[in-house]
Amino acid sequence: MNASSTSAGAGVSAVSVQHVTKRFNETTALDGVSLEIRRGEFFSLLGPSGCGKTTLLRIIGGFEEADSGEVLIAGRNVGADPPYRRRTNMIFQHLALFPHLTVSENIAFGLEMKKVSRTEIDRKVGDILKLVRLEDYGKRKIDELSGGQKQRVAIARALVNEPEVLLLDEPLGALDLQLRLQMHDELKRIHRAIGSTFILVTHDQTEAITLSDRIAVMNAGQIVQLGTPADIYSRPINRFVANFIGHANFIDGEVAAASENKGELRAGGVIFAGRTAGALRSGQPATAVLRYEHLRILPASSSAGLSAVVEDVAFHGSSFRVTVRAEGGIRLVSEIAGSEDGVQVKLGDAVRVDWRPESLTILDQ
Amino acid sequence: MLLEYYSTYRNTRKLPFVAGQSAPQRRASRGGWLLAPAMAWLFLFTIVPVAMMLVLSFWTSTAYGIKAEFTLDNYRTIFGEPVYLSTFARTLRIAAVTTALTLVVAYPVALIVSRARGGWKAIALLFIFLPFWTSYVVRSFLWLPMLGRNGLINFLLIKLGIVTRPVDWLIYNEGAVYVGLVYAYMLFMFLPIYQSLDKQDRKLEEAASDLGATPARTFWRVILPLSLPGVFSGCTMVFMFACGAYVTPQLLGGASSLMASNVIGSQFQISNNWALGSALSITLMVIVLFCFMLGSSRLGLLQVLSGSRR
Ligand SMILES: Nc1ncnc2c1ncn2[C@@H]1O[C@H](COP(=O)(O)OP(=O)(O)O)[C@@H](O)[C@H]1O
Ligand SMILES: [Mg+2]
Repeated sequence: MNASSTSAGAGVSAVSVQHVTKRFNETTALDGVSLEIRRGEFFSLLGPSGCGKTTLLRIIGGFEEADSGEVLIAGRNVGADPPYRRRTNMIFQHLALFPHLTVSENIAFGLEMKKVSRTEIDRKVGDILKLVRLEDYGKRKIDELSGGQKQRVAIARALVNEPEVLLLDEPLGALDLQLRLQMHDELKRIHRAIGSTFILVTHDQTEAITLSDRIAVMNAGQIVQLGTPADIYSRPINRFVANFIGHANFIDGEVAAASENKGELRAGGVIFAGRTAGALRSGQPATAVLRYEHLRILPASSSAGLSAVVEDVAFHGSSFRVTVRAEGGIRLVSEIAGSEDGVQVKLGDAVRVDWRPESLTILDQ
Repeated sequence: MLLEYYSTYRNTRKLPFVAGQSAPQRRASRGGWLLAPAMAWLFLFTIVPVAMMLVLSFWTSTAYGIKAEFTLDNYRTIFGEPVYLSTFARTLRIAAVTTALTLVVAYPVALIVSRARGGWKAIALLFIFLPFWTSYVVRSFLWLPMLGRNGLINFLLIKLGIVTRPVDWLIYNEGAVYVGLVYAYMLFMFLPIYQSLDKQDRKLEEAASDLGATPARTFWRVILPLSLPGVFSGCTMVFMFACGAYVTPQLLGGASSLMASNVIGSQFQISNNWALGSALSITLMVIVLFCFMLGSSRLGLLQVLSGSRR
């Protein structure tokens, strides 16, 4: 997937987290988490607030110690090593830039700690300032920078140390949308340019999907699903993941038929055909998940799918959300692209709705 | 100059004493009348006594008291008699050493307390404040039964068999004055330093550690520089107070460690020479003021060297 995965040392995970558990008093922040993060990968930890993302990142960085379990960085057990003995660097949620130092001094800090020579430091700082496009800001004080510039200083300060693993704790959370999208591009560009392993913590599904090679979706201190963005998006393994990523219809019913990975769900007397996630028995209660944009709206004259009546049409900028009531009284939402002359359906229209069986996932409830 | 330095240093905003002085300056440009009470206060408690002293210092002293007759004799006496100049020199030396010692004692305490957890922090602060609820004079007297010939320390030394007869170099010398002054002014050094340490973002320490700094290097490169405004503020106050120390050198010092205030006091109380006393006070004030100007220009230099703004 990435040039560096074929370089020397391939085969050993950049970070290996093994059965890590962490408690704070009553709270179990991490509950037996295991993970293998590949070299050069852009990996995201995605989950709602309080699910333990930061705690996991802080354990990898050495700021917290796991109650049990192990963390290996480049194959070496880092045990209770303090942060200053690890080849990781962190970009903190609130940046934590040194207010008494200039931009250049902030960036040079890590190199000075490693006793790199002055000329080497100047060269590296100059290079990294160019990479984050802050060439002319080296002499500025931190409080003379805009939010996006501070962000890039924080990124530069970590990256200049050429860490094996870069840890990013919701680094873009404080920025407005415009700036965040811009920083997404920059992060991607920098990741490609540097080739080290990035671990990003975020609660923003769009961020995780657009940036990552792989995503671990977390909930309540556990990893719920791990896979590529496309995997997780189109094949969520449970209702939590489906709900957390994108927008989906949830149709509750019972399993009418199930084979190895195909199945049918009966709800309101109607059959929904799709693929199954996990082993399902005929007759057991189950839920079908169908993404809004995977539900197609066809003219009433069509023969495919189910007949339905349009109940609502809502404009969502680049798309329309059409709510229909299908056979059996089931309400479904479809997201369709808006065309220049507006949407073709209107309130009260009789239509048919259809989906490809591989887009509909039947889950154990 | 000093105040200007403080007000430009972003971390001083919440410091006591210092910030309190720069705030009215800034506000002055808006509504001058808002300053009226402060100006009245300043006039009543600062300008009037100093002006009175200044006038008195030019009066003539006679055997029966002072006469409103202009003379420069008082200042001639001060600059003519080596005893006065050497007293001033000693005062400045004692004040400087006291400031340094107080800093060395207070800084680690402030650092430890500021890094303590909630409950321990409150307890530690309570114990630091506790002695200061009694009078300064009582706190100075306290050292007599501690350092004296039959005092607690001699008692312990004898009990532990370290000495056979009580030692008498514990008190009535400059060393004892330092003990008393450091103890007396501890809080004024501790508080501003503690404040600047306490409000530091602890994430900065994590960031330093993340970037490869050991705890010691984190201290020198991050914690200490960010606490310098507190250090300057504490040093300023302690130096100022120590220059005017009276009770402590009187009680604990010997004849050779008397300070300017003792000499000045004796002019008022014993010699009944208010004119010379006033002239001495004015001279001390000018010297202290000069020290501050020197110090603050040095601080300005320090600021330039450390790459801070302006
Ligand atoms: N230092 C701490 N002390 C007590 N509880 C903590 C501490 N750090 C995290 N927690 C708790 O652990 C859980 C996970 O926190 P965190 O890892 O910060 O979540 P996230 O980053 O996913 O929002 C939360 O319930 C949080 O309250
Ligand atoms: Mg977090």
